[in-house]
Amino acid sequence: MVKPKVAIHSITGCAGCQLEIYFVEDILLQILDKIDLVAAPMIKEQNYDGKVDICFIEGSVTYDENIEQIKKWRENADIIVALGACACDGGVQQQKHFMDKEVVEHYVYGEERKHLKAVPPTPISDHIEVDFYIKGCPADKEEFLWFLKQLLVGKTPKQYEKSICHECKLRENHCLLEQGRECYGPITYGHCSIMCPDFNHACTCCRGPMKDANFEEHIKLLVEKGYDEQQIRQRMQKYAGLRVEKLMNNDKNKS
Amino acid sequence: MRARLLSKHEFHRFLEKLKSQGTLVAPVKEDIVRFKEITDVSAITTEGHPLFPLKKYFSPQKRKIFTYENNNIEEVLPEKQYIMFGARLCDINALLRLDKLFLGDISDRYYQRARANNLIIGLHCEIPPNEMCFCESMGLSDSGYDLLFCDAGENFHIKVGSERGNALVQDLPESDFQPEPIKTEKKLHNTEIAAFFENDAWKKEVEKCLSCGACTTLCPTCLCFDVYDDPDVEMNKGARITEWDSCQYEDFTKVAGGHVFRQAREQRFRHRIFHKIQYYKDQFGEFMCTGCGRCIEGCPTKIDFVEILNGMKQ
Repeated sequence: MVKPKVAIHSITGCAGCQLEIYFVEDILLQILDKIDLVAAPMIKEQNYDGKVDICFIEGSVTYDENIEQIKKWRENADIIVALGACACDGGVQQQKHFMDKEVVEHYVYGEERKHLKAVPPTPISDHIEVDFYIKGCPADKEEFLWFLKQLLVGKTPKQYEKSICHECKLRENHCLLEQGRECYGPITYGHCSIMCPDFNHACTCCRGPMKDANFEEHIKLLVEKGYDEQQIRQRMQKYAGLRVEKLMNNDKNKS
Repeated sequence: MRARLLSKHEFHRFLEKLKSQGTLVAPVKEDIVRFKEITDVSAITTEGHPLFPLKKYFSPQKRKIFTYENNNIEEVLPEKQYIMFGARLCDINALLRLDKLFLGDISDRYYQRARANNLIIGLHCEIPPNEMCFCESMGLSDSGYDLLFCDAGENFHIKVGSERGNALVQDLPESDFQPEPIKTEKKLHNTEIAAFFENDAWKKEVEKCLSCGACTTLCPTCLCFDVYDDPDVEMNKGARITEWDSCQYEDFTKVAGGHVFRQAREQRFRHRIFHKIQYYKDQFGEFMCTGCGRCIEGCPTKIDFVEILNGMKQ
């Protein structure tokens, strides 16, 4: 069998997703035996720039050169995978869309740096076609492995479509919402090993909103539990506000 | 077989004896009450009912059906023999309902083995353990257990349901006790629901559903699962897995091409209720629902299908 050529690239982000996937240390060598990792600037000195079978892209688009770059990667790859919250949904930096630009610029660059402009970041899917999404902040290494193994055995991986609640319930966790906590499990995509609720930490939506999320009722429930509506809406914007907004508008148009 | 009498002073000693004969499972009070494998019998509680049902011991949340390596396949069957203490009549009846599905024309071998191996020791409800209980309306049968413990103050009266059960208590003094049928304050009045399929109440009442799947996970008779393969990184070996699924999820009815049969939340909810109250009865002559109330108790927005049905007019 010819080994698939794989590239792992990064644009604007913290590089935590790449780091997370290299943490599959126990089987990293076995994986490198199954694929031809031709480009991975974080761990390789020599990186090939041509055609590949699978290209993982981490980070969000924050300036024009990013767009040129990912378009080139798109042309060169059969399969493009958005890796992590920034690539999938814009990530924490997309909160800029919901803030006053002047205030953000002033806060980050100060008085003297008027020539530096804050560009609202966008997910890579706003600019190129994406074949698969591995969500989360950071992306989950188990989901990365699951995705890679499905491809290697010749299957088309299926995008995971259940919420955090699914696996949380399978593990018999006492529902955090039932305990009055500000949990976003029902509106957030799962498949993340459920690390947060397992350790009694409410879900913060890092894997982005479910297509099927019932936003209005979820907000109503949290308000009933005593949380501030504005704060709830801001929390929902934290990793994927652009998509939350789009989906909420769809809901409004439907009803 | 005659009922038996066990003094509560002897209760822990009796549980110790059970524990020496298999893996003992019983309700334990933690943040909530759960069925757990018991190491210390003093942790067992007879108060309240476990929020998560017993079905996990017969059809686990995630289980390997078989493992494969190159061209060899090895079936995975249950390893442990459980002795289950503290199942309520709703839980026991739920297993009888599941039997009809898992042990029908095609038997699920894992389930079959688990049912044959495991011993069920019930706990009668003198008072319903939860205000959401409505089993009085669901026609439960007084069967399906090996033993049934009935609390009578200083003693337990133990009803005997099988030879295997009898073997555990035959040294105890006999008793003539008959438990009272369980009375629940909450009742399902409308049990003929065919005419309610088209009804505005579904949409109105189910609007607040978050599709979290709590109702189906907590239901002692929900058995749907997904099947997928989990290959090892070496690719020549791996396992085929079943994992519980839920009809309340949007992707549950998704088919090739992307079509979803029950797109609207109220359609999914209605389907669950019709399966529990109507479709199963059409097929097997009894309700699938056993009135344990967990789907109401565990729902984060407290959608109460009993009240929804009770409020519908013919």
